[in-house]
Amino acid sequence: MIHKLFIANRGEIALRIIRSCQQLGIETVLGVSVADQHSTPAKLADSTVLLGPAPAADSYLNIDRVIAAARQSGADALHPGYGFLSEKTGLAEACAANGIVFVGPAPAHLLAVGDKLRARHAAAEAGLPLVPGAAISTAVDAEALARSIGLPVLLKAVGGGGGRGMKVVRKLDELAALVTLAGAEAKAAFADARLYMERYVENGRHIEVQVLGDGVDVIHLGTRDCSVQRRYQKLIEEAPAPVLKPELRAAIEQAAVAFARHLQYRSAGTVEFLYDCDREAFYFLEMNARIQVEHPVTEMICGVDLIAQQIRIAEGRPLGFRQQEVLQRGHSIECRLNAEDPANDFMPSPGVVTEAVFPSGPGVRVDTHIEAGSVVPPNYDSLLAKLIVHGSDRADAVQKMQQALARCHINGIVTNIGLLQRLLVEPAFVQGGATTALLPAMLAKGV
Amino acid sequence: MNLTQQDIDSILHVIDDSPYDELRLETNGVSVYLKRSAEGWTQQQQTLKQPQLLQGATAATQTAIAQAAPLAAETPATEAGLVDVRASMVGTFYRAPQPGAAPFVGIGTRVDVNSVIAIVEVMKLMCSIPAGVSGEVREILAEDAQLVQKGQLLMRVKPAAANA
Repeated sequence: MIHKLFIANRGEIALRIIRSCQQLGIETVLGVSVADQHSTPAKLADSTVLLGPAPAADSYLNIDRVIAAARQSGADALHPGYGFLSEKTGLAEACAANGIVFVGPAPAHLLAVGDKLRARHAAAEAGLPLVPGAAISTAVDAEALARSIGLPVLLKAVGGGGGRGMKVVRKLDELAALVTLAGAEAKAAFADARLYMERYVENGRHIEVQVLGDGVDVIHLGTRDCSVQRRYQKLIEEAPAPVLKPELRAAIEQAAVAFARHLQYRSAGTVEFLYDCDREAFYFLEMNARIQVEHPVTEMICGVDLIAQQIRIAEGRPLGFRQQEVLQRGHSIECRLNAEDPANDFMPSPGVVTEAVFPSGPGVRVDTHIEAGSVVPPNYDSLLAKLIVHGSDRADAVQKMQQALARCHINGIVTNIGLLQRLLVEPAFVQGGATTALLPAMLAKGV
Repeated sequence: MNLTQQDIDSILHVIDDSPYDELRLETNGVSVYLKRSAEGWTQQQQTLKQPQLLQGATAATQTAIAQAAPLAAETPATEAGLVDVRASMVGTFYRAPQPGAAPFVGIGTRVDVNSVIAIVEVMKLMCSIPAGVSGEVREILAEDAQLVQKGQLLMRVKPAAANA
């Protein structure tokens, strides 16, 4: 049993973890940087430990400091949240070496899915469909591969994520230059210049499946659609993925379970797929071996607390329910409210929040660490709040979200609420099943 | 959390009829000590610093909390006619594109209007800072990897025209 949990994260997810611990009767210790000492999560945790200065490299990304703080606090377990060190094998190993339960998968799982090539290999072993592609090492390799896959192709960083180092190549004569550029970007961002190339799906949707595994059994909690993205950053997510043939949905869910089962996965995880709308085919993209930002939409339709499930599994207990007991009800949508200015090329907007009014009511949930007076430091990401609604069906959820956004008032810093409001009335979004091209196209039109 | 005099009066009201002569109250951030004497109640109140905060095991240097801080006084220019290059946003100032790499510019580097002289990282976004003027870098005033405020003076450039 876990009695005292150290939270190695900040922002809304730190608060989200505190809330689950309060319900479970687990004491919480929050590791904070200097910039977050007076944050709302710091006030609500049972205690806080200073990790270091504001820069993440000296605090939230520093394994030694995180482990020292967790040990000092006497915590028997550590939750890494998402981002920061959440998928670092080194943190999971350091926890094990110090007798601290890591609330997440085993180091071997993190290793298996942390590298795109290794993950692809594991997916192939598990029988999952893959986007045609392969690793490239030289420009000559790249050209032969591009010819065999067919243009356009996508260049990705082997060790990367978050869209950095990715390039679309539409003409063969651009290929060599883009390979050099993508390699340099990958090296700068991830200290790993290796690239791989795959078919670029023009009309694609990002569909993912939430799974839970206890090391023996694996179940899924249905699909999410995260196709509303800009530069590979998700902005709106929903569950279940709309406009999908039932047999395709079942196949995607089964593929996710097969992959997690192949890994003997233990914890909550997400298997991501690219759905090719033109070919009506889906391909394995990657697995995120952690809780995800968009997990609440699954919680809303399934009535499951995913953080509590992670903790339960970390305690070494088997899954508390079987696949046939997972019932999905209605439709849920999440909007990410960010401190950024869509009118000024999404320039981040740190500062002091002077007013923070969030909607509430039946079927409306807000996961946030922001209140009036909160400081949004320039050191971390721009997520301010997640606005989540649950409706009887998708149309009901869309309408609820439109109303909820209209009742949000955040002042003192610039936010993207206006853009989210425009998205929620955009016909292609309202209709459902929009592709990843929706938001870039809207922005290009100046909507 | 702050206790107002009104809060203290309410507390006194409650304990006045009690058999106790002393009350020591420590809450989240405030400590109050009340004592009954012949003249009535006396009180001591103090705001505690950083409630519940344990010092981390590693000595963490305290850096400026990242929020709108007033700009520090600027060092006067070493020569006349220099053009200021200022930060267009709050964030972390970096002189080189990545750790270990050569800086974008040094003293004496010739720049034109669009030359990148530094980057400022704000909320995980790397923003290039252009010189905004053609000429030669004469002074570098911001420190690498430190927080800079919007409008903070980063460098001074001797404009090309003035050089001629």
